[in-house]
Amino acid sequence: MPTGLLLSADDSSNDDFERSWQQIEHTLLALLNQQPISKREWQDLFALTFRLSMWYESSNQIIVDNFNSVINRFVLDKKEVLAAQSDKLVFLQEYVQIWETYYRLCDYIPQLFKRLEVASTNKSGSAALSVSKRNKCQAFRDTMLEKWKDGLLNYHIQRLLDNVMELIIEEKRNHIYNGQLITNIKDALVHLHCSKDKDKLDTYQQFERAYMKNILEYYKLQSSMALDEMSMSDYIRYVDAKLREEEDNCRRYLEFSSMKVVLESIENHLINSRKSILLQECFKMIKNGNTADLIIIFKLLDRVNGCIDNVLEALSSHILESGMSTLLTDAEVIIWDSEKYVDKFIGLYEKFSELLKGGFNDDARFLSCRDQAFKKIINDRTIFSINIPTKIKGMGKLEPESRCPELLAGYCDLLLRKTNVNKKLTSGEIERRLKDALLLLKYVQNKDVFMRYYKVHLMKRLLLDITADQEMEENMIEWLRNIEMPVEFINKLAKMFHDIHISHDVNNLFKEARSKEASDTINAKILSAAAWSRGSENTNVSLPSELAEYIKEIEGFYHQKYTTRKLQWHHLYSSGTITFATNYGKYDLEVTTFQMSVLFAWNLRPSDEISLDSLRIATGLNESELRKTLFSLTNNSKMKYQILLVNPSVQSFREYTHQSIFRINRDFNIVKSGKIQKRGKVTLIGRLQLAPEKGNEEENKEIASLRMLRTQEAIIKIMKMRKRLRFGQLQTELVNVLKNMFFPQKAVVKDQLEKLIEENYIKRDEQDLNTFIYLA
Amino acid sequence: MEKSSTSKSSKPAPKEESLFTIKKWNAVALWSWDVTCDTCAICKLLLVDACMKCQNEIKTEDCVVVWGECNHSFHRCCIASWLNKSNRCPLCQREWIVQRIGR
Repeated sequence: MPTGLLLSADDSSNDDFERSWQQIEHTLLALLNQQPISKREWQDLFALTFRLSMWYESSNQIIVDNFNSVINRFVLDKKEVLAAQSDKLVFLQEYVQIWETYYRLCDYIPQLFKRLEVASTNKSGSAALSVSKRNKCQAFRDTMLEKWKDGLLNYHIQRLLDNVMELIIEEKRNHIYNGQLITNIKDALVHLHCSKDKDKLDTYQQFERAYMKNILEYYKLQSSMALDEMSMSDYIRYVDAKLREEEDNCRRYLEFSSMKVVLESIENHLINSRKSILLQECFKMIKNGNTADLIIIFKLLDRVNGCIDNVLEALSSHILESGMSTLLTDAEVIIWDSEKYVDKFIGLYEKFSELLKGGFNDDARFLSCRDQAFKKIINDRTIFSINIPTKIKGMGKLEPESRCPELLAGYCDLLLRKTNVNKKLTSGEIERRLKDALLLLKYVQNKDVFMRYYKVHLMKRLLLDITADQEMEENMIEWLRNIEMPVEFINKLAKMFHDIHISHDVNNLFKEARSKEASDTINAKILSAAAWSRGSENTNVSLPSELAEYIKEIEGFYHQKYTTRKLQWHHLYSSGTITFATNYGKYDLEVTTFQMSVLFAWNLRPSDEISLDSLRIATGLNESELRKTLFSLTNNSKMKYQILLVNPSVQSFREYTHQSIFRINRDFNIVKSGKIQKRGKVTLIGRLQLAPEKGNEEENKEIASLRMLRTQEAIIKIMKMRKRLRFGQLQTELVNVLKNMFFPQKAVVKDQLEKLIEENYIKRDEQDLNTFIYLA
Repeated sequence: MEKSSTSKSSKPAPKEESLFTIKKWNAVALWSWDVTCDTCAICKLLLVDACMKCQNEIKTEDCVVVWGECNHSFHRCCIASWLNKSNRCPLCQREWIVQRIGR
């Protein structure tokens, strides 16, 4: 029965097929040409295609062929329509319009053939498994798109691209905007890619290439024109604006994937090809501090790889150059005046920081570049240096170092001591200046020198009670801690503060216990030897008899209180005020105990002339100390009239001979604004009387020997951890460990290594002499 | 005018006014433990400082000195750990009796 049905239909099969197809074709063309069709007609299409594919033998291939030819005809037809269009704009618009309808239909029409496809897959059997239905469903869509591309687009593509590009360029040149149209065309080209070759967006790539080519050509012309006409600062602004504009354009007219490539090539053209001019300009701006332009040129150069390195180099050499030239021009002043020194450096620092902020947006690369350059300037030793020997015994080499840390310590002292400088400043200002000094200190390589001087200054301030602001002192200790000064050092300073407080209490107790007269005159500071300098030898001096009495009193009191302690008087640290009666009046002199001892030699014989030898016996001072003390009394540069007169006169304390005769200047007086004063006060306490004046050389030797010990200590510490290390690695680790104190020089390190090897703490590897092994 | 008057007054009366008189004196002394030997024989460090262990633990305040009857002195921490092994002075082998403690 089913066979019969089939046979009977078979008679008129060809006719029927033709008729049905014609009907399909008619509706299809109507759809394509956007003629109105009824719902019914659309629904019938489904029935018809289904019927044809189901009931006619090998109809599928015919249907496909027929469908292809319909599409073909339609596409060719449209091609002619477009070709006839001469106006560029209308051409593009029309293209977009036709395409958009067509593209929409690409989604609908293939639906008609869904059944057909299912049938064909069923027949092909095993193939169905490999090709999924969904993909098959795309086949018709693909055909439609392919036909469009082959039949229409390939013919028109050149014209299309040319016209679009013209629009794009026109937009730039004459500000005629056709943004929507351009975007539509772009979309049209992107959408054209059927599922089969989704990955190769070849038409779009053609678009992208054309876009790039045209833009570059445009800018080639424009930028060289701009460069000729504009000043450099206008030009960089122009480039900056254009680049931003292009970024916008790319976002609008291109797919995301191609943005980067296109932008890069534009940047390459606008910046990289003019790199040398731009860089030169940039260097000029750095020199002139032209931050407004710099920030723009920086942004431009930052877009291109490798340019920034050149700028960094230029910046660092500029900082170095201008830093050094400032230093050299003011060398005379700076060397001696720590205030000016810090001012100058802070000035430089602020100048560069401003440049970085304004010109480079505080970019991290530039900040670190500044820091490095600054480090070099601060540690530079062309204008001033101190010599730190690298070896102690024998004639060691002298390695000069910057005197900067010494000056910085001096500056801090100036601010923390009661001086004219600090009287004029509010505590806020002092704080700011101290912070300035700390800022510079961070760049200092040999911080141990700073610590040493700072400690000496602090001792002096505490011992002489000339600290301006106790709170500030204690804050300063915290700040030093915060910039990672070595903990031991900070602890030592803190201990000194603590100890001074204790001694204050003891002094008060003593005063309560003693007679009124004594307690008015005497202040005793009894300090712990652990916290204060030790190892510095004590210098003997015979005291005026009154003082010797007091000392006994204090000792008696103290031993009663602390039975387990012994006292050692450090007259080197002590000082006092004495009244000096002359022919003109009475003057208060602030003197060291040594000076006091010398002057009191005359107390019983005011008019005598005394020789050097007699003085030595009278004071009990050693010769060098005596000479220096005498010199501060006979040749005090700060005073008009000297207290002691010497015959013959000398220029240096070394020139006193056994024939030198000293006597008191009884005509000593103080002159103020031309008038002789009857009363007055003079201080004779020199700048640094704490350590027995050893001279700088010895001071530096001490620093050097301390460094050697620290180096040894660090080597052992590192080797203990690593067990086995090559010299290079050891050196790097050493620098790291010691960076808060000083920079370990290779010569020193090698020396200390030898010493440790000698003492069997470390040995060399037998195979590799450059490797060291820790011996437990 | 002033000049003559002062010179006159100072010369005839040297007794009442000596050339220099002390008005104020700031004396400085350093105290250390009243010991015969500066170093602790146990840890080899100065008695003025804290012992090695206390220095590491940064509690230097408590590290004081102890004298035995034999007048030998050590860090309190050092002798304390020594006494765990032996009740004799490490230097003279006499029985260890605390004479005084530093403060």
